[in-house]
Amino acid sequence: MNEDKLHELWKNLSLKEKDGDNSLFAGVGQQKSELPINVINRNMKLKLYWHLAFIALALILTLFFLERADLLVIIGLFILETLFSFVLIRKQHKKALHINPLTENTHNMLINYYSCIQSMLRFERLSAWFSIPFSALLGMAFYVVWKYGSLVVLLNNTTMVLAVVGVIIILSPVAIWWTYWSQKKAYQPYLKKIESYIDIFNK
Amino acid sequence: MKKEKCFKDYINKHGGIIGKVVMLYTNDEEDRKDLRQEILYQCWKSFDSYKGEAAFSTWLYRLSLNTALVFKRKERQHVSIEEQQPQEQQTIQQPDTDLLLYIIKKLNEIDRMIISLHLDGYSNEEIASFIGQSKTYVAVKLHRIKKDVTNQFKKLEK
Repeated sequence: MNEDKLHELWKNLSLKEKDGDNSLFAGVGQQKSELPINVINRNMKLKLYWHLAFIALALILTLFFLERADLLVIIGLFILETLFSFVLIRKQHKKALHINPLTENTHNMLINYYSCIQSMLRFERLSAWFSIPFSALLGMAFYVVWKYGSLVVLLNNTTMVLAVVGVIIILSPVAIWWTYWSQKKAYQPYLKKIESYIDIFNK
Repeated sequence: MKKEKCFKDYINKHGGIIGKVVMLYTNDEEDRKDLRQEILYQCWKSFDSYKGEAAFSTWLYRLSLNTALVFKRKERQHVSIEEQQPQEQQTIQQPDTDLLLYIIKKLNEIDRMIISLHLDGYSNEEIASFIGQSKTYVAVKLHRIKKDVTNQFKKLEK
């Protein structure tokens, strides 16, 4: 087999594929990308809507407790926390939206693509670790203040103290484990594959 | 509307590139359809960034190959390249083009990219800039790949 034969065979092979299936053209602008970078970004967008919905709900809740300054403080804290998270997610979402590594050279593309996904997943983890336990604690504080009028009652109630401690030492690790596990399940083999391509270039 | 027409014209003219990349990086019909759709979508999305510095075919080739590399196959039963291996008796009747395709698909994804660019007439320098490596890297790799392909071909032709 010489070089010319290879080229000739390749030419024949290329001719076979000359007419691709262009029926997929229809509505190409409305289609969705299934590349992980775009899927994660779409999930982020969805989270932004959820954050807005939570903020709206919290604002509606304030209307019912206008006379209760103590509850308003807790609702205010929740709104602040959600707003803070909203701003950070939006920033990350916008950043990822404008990244288009696919037109770069392959080595750079793989490095940028890999680090972009890694940073998005890391951000998702941090966001979950922080907001899930914090929101749960605020929810509990809201319930106690609403029912007993003050957080001081917590100090005299062993069950409630246990519940708060439980949230901190059980819910936080569960949130950490859950986000880590779900990300690992969804993306680890894929990221390993990208890593192996980068390794081929680095050898 | 104008963008869409322009895009369609370009793709119709160079659609074979997408077909070739899809053929090299997939083993079953479902994946083929998904990858083709993904490449078309990514081309459409990046079409505005094409300023004409390079030939459209080169731009499309780069984008298609890059998309194929980072494409995530849906979780379902896949046909592996080993399963597509022709039976011993069939090997004799197997057209050479199919054998070549089978051998190239057995290479790793990066080598597949390098050999396809080479066989499509890109120079070592162009391939080097395409993949972001040195000319020497490409020359060494190509030498090994060609040797490997030739040996495999001889083995399967016997």
